Amino acid sequence: MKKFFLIGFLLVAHAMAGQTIHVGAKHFNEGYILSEIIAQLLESEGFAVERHYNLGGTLVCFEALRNRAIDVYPEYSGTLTAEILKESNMEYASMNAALQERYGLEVSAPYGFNNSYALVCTRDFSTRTKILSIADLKNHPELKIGMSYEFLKREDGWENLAKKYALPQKAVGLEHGLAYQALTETKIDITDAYSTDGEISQYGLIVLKDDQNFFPAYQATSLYQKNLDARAKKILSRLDGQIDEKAMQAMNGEVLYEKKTFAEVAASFLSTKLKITTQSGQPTSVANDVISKTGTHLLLTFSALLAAILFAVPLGIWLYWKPRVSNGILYFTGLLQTIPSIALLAIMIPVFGIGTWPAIVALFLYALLPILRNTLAGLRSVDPLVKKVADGIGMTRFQKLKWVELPLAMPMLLTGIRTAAVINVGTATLAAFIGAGGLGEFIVTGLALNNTSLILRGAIPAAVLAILIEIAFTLLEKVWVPKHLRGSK
Amino acid sequence: MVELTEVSHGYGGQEVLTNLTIRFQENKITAIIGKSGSGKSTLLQLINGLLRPSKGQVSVFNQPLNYNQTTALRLRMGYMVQGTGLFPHLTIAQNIAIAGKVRDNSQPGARVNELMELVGLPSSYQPKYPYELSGGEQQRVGICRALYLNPPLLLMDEPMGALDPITRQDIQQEIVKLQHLAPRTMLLVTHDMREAKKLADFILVLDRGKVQQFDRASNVISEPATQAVRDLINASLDS
Repeated sequence: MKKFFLIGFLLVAHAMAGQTIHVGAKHFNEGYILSEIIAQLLESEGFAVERHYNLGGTLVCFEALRNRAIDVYPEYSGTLTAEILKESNMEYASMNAALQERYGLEVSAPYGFNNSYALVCTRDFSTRTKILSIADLKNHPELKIGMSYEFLKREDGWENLAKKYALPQKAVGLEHGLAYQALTETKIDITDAYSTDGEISQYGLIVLKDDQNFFPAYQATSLYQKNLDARAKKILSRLDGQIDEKAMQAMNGEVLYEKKTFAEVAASFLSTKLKITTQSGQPTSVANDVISKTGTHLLLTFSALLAAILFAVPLGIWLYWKPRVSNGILYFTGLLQTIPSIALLAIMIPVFGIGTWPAIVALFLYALLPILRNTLAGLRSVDPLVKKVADGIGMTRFQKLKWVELPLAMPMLLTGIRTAAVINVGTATLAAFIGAGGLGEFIVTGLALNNTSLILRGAIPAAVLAILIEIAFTLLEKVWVPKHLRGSK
Repeated sequence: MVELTEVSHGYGGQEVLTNLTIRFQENKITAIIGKSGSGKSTLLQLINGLLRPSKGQVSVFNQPLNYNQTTALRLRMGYMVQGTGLFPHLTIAQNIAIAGKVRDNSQPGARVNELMELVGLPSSYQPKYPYELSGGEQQRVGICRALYLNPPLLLMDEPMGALDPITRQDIQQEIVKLQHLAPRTMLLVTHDMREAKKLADFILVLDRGKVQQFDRASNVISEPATQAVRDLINASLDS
């Protein structure tokens, strides 16, 4: 009997060890913290967790989940109903049913806080004017209202809000990152905020009461595959109702103002609230982190570049021989170039999932046009007399290509490859949005936290890489192209 | 040696050459002369196989031209064009020896020096690039390149068109000297009757794609067959 238990135990242990749960995170402060809580909670119960943070917003996260590139990420009920299900005023339960039916996804019960849009003002202002709710604004047409650009445009934004409450003021647009500063310096009186923003407690701001329930509920919750391991679902349910608005605001503030890491904040939440001790990974040194991310960045950039060279140079040669089809193909690669990076990365997810592969494919597509166009232009620019002489001497098509046309096209070809390489180093920073890592992780996280030093940690090495690439290509040209044939540099 | 039988060539309904039947003399210099657009360059390209006749047949080395094996054929004919057409990315030595590379991927050999000496170029030029040489020097390199494999047939498409009179005279003397040392069949396209008179054993006069006269040089000049020939002689010798 004991034997059976032992075997059973081993089987379960084996099955568990083999199971890795992929946790995603949207690229903003709260997203990182909640995902880290999920990740550490699952790890404390013996699951292996792979983190896919910095995913570029709802679109990328949801696509990644739908395509099973990730298993779970934190999402908000309001976003799910409005943006994904395109429904208004949906009950939580019917939303869950619709998600299961349409997408095979499921949500846990809410964490317990509502991260809605809200209007905020300073405590001083509120005391002085006795404004406590949105309805109170109606009698103060002189107020200066500054709203984030996104809030001005959203369905649940300023225009409809002002209509509903019959507010007389005109709002001006400003960058959300600057709004809190403008508010405390009394440049504006009222602005929009996420109700759990760390700044609210930091600056002691007053959240105006939404008397008419204009803002929908944005209940935070875990969104996961319906067929996620039952034990994992059960573990995640331990978060149900455990995080209230105050707690979330505090955690956001700890990252923003106390400069704690997400891992630290998540660990301290789990130990105080759920009495779970987690071993948050040892902090890696900044230098090692930069070096390893630079390595990933170079891997992304150069594997895509190499693939693009191997594809576009022969294609360019072929098009040079078949001028009739060349225009069509050039237009097509030009079209690829015009797709915004984030959109192209999102398109990749259903086919390649998230991570390194889709990033390399996207970078490959971006590198095609400069290389293809310059290969073709370089070959076409070769003096026709020289081509005629090559024929007249008796060179075969391939000898002519190898000994005459390619060497003479080389300066333009190298310029094309150089352009592609520099574009790739820059674009590769966006690859962080689909979890491919690289220097973009610093930049994306830094942007989300409004942390300049973090942004520079990614931006400076990327700039250095771009400069090194320029230098490398200049040297390459020195080796491959006789001095008098080099372009002006 | 080189023979055209009822050869016509034209693009899009317009004939550049009409019904040519010519047999060029072996080991002689034949000047092909005519105004611009008379079809002289086209004729050379037909012989080289760069162009195919729309009618008739071209024979070279007593064989009908096989367009699937032009490389072997072209290695036996030197080809010079106006403006030299040197490869700008290759050194003088590599330019001269290019036919050897095409034939068997061989490196420039002693033959380079030999030829440069023949046309009066210092061997210190070997590692230089074409742009470092004057027009006349480049032209001499062009001659060396055409002669590298010692071809029995030499096609020259206005090789002296862009040169100043003194350099032109030098090169002309070079050609006379070469022919004296080792005779070969040379076809020299020119629009200059004086050049033709100086270099050629035979003269072929073309006008609007048709043969006006094909005879010994002295006969053409003393007894022009048509008005077109007379005009050419007058135009060249007057200027």
